[in-house]
Amino acid sequence: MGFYVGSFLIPYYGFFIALGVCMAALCGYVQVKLFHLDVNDFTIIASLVGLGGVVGAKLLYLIVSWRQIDVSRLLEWEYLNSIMVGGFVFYGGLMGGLLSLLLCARIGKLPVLRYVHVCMPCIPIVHGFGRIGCSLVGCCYEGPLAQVYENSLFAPNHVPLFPVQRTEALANLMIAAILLFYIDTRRTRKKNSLCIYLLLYTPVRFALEYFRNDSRGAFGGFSTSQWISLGLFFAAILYWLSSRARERKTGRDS
Amino acid sequence: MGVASLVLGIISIVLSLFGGTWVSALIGIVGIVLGALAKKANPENSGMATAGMVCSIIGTVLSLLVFIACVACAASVGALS
Repeated sequence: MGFYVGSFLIPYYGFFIALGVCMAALCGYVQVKLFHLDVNDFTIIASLVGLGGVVGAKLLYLIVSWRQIDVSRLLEWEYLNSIMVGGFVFYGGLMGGLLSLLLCARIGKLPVLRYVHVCMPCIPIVHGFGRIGCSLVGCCYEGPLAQVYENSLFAPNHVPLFPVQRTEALANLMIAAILLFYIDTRRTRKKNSLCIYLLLYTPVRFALEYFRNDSRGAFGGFSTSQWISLGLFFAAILYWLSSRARERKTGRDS
Repeated sequence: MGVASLVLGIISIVLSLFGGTWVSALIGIVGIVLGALAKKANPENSGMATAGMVCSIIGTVLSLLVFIACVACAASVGALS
């Protein structure tokens, strides 16, 4: 589950999420400086997106796994605490983060799109590092293939399993690299990083869901994450097409 | 806002080190936002805000490091409780 520093137990997942957040913050800071944006605005937006992301990820987790939650024990501090520190759904976090962005733009009057287009690789960086933590613990395993756990609380031990979390971690870090290349080679031109991220990540997640042993809700032959992947994929295509049409129209008008 | 950020940052660090939970991460994030707002509002005199931001960042990262366990599977709620 983790490693000890003195008498402190550091869980692998917490360690890798914290490492991912630090790496993403560093990447965002470099991008903001590179594109001459305001570091304070970036800090405010990133923090609020993080807060929205955590709340969204937890809410979707509670929705999809409500059957496993004993409502009568919610007033017990230890039980409530165990629910709050463990169990997040990535897509809930993504949607919570997007909602936070919308609130930053509407209420805080911040130019969020400029920051989104430049700092989008931060999301797959945090996600990729988090998946390495999941892989070390044995969350959402599936087989059969190469990964063998010896002492996991969640995955079956001594059985060869498909390394689904490592695959997703690698895919996320590759998406981050592609996005960085796309953004930094289009210094002055219009960028559409959010669409590209969704178009790259959602098919990967849709395919990997077949290899995950994730019991958190399924209907119509697809898991919750596969339905959300489909919805986000088509939403990104529609957004892309509409922004292209808008660009052409403004080009003709001018 | 700079003072509020510093206070929240210190509370976040203390909670994350001495038995605090996810609450310390939330307090830390609010501290970071307040610190950045204070720095933006008064860039010339931002010592307190910078200190608040640093404390809040340390508190948030410590909270993430120590308390978030990977329990993504529904069955794990039972395992934890």
